Amino acid sequence: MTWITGMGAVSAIGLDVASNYQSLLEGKDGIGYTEYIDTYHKRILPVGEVKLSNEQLIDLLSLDKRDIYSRTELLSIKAASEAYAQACLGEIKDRTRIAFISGTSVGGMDLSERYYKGYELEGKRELVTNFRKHGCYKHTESAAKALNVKGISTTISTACSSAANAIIYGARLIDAGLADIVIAGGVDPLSKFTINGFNSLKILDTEPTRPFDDSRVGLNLAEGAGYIVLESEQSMKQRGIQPLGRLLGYANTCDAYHQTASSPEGKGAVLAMSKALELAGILPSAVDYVNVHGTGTQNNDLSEGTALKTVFDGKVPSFSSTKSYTGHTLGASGGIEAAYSLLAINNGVVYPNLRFKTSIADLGLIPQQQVEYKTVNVVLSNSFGFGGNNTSLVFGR
Amino acid sequence: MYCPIHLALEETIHHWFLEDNMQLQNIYIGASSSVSIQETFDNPQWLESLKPLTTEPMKVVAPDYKKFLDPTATRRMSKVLKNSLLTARQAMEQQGITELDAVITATAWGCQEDTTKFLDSFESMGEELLSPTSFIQSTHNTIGGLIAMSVKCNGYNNTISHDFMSFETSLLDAVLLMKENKQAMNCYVGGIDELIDFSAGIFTKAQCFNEIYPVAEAATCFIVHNNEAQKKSAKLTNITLTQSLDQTILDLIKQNKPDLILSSSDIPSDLPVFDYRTLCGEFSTAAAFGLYLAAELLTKKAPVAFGISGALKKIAIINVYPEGRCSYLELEGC
Repeated sequence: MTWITGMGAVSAIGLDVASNYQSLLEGKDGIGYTEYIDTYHKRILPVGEVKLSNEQLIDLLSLDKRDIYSRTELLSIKAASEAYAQACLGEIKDRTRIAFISGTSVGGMDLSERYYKGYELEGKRELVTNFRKHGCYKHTESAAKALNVKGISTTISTACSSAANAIIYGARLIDAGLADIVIAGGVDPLSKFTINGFNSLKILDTEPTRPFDDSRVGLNLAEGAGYIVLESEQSMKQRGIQPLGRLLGYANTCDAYHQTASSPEGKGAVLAMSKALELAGILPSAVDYVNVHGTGTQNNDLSEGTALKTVFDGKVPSFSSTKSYTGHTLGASGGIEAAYSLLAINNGVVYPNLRFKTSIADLGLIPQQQVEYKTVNVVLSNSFGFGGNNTSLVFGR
Repeated sequence: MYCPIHLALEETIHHWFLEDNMQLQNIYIGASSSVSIQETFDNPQWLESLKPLTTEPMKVVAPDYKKFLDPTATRRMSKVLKNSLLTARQAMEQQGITELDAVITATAWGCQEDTTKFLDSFESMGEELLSPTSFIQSTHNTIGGLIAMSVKCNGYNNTISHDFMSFETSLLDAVLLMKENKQAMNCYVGGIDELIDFSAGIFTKAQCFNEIYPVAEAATCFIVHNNEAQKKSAKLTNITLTQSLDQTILDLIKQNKPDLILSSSDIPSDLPVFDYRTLCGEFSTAAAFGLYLAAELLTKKAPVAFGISGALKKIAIINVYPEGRCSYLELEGC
């Protein structure tokens, strides 16, 4: 299985991996009202917003100020370059052996909604430079270009499991010998589109979310980006670089139940978790920590909790939803939580599930409630999405 | 300055298959189905009555939905969802299967009708009391989720949205999946893009596509499998992705000598080249139509219009895209 040699994350709780980690240990969430989105809900629905404006991100990344960027591109380049730097990818001569696979739900939607009504008014040249940036793929190409990465690149869009599926695609490219190194993960920006979309589904909490609590009423929408660097054993040894961990197993399954809701028994979730463990050749009892999908909606947490009990035969290991810190970053969550999983392994720590008080009546599951230092050899990370897309990743030492 | 990227999948593919057991040596394109601007759907004779392109954006020849789909269940579905569901079902039916092991969907622009409908709803009605239907149906993976639900497929489900390379990297996904699983699998691989009036105007203005062809749309799908005993239209013998029409591709053409090249670019070769976009128009996942046409030509007698004499045994589909991407797909008759 593939090794991991770098990671990068940007979220509401930090602009890099180190500051994300600090917030996780301190129990500091990043949930609050938006500073940058002009929406009716801006003082009603709290979100997990990255605490930098687009202008600040452009400055930080030393990008050409004359260009127009989607927030998606900016967040993606920010997190991907951190992963890139940690894995020392600048030293690699054959750039065609480095692939870039990214996941996103809405791509450049922040631009689409800004320009949607203005197309008739704008000049032709302006349209040419802008419009292609609305597509899902554009941030992938931009980040690959910014990092001078010339291997295969593609973009996965499976809603909230996008980044996790990008990681699977990357691992397969390495296994097939089509790349030595893959930067894989995902990104999503906050947008009026998604805020209104999730609000129309009535699954947004007006308070900071309470995943796995009996009183949970919904999620906090959020933004961010997270990438890891996957690398073949041969390449890693040749470069003499220290690994952060391994991707031991993975599985992508489909609940095939409902476009937005999970099945009550969590069929797709059970399949994803057990198939990922099976591919890893690991018994459920060897899992030390589960970074659950845990959006904080009625439906997800009940369904995922039921699935956890099935997979672990009632003996569910330490688990928590770090979405209680970051909010739900949609297509980015699998990438950000991959970084959190690797931090858990490398630092021997599991994070609390914030604001938990009472277990869900039908489940009786109690998530991790405080920072706990212990040996963490295996982490299972879940990303479940709209359309029944269920993906589980298994990370190891 | 361009840097050549060498992902010579051909070698790798052959290498993989040698390692696998004999029964799984090859990857095949089985049944296929397409709703396009030609009368492709449910019409084996479509090649005999080709429609000429117009200069205006062209929409698909809409199938008689009532004949194939339950009107109540599909009442709220956009055209792209209906076309995707319909083609998936028909391909499965022709393949003689009732289950799928994987659903892999390629779509560059996703479900535009529902996306713009939702954008319109909060632009015009404000941000309160919105109906979630168009939002639910707006995400790119709506198509794959819907197909999985309709055939109760709990297996692998992926959606790829990478502009012009969406379809090619989806086909690669299916190949990688079958290599990893080492068992007989039936994978749905679809290339789907929808054209709505709003974006037709923008695509043209923003010069997203080659202006020689009208902007168009299609929903085209294949049952890609690795089971020798099943229905096969063609064998998938090569997927090569590069950053331009470089020496790698030119060498492939020279070595493999396809009987016909389907391409809309100037291919420096003496081999016959047919510009398939003169049949399907231009859109991001047109490569899927190219593959569909190739499979059709390998299983049916090519009409005189193609200027080919003799039987076709091997067809290459070559696409050269803006922003430094190029793809070579190759099929051989079974």
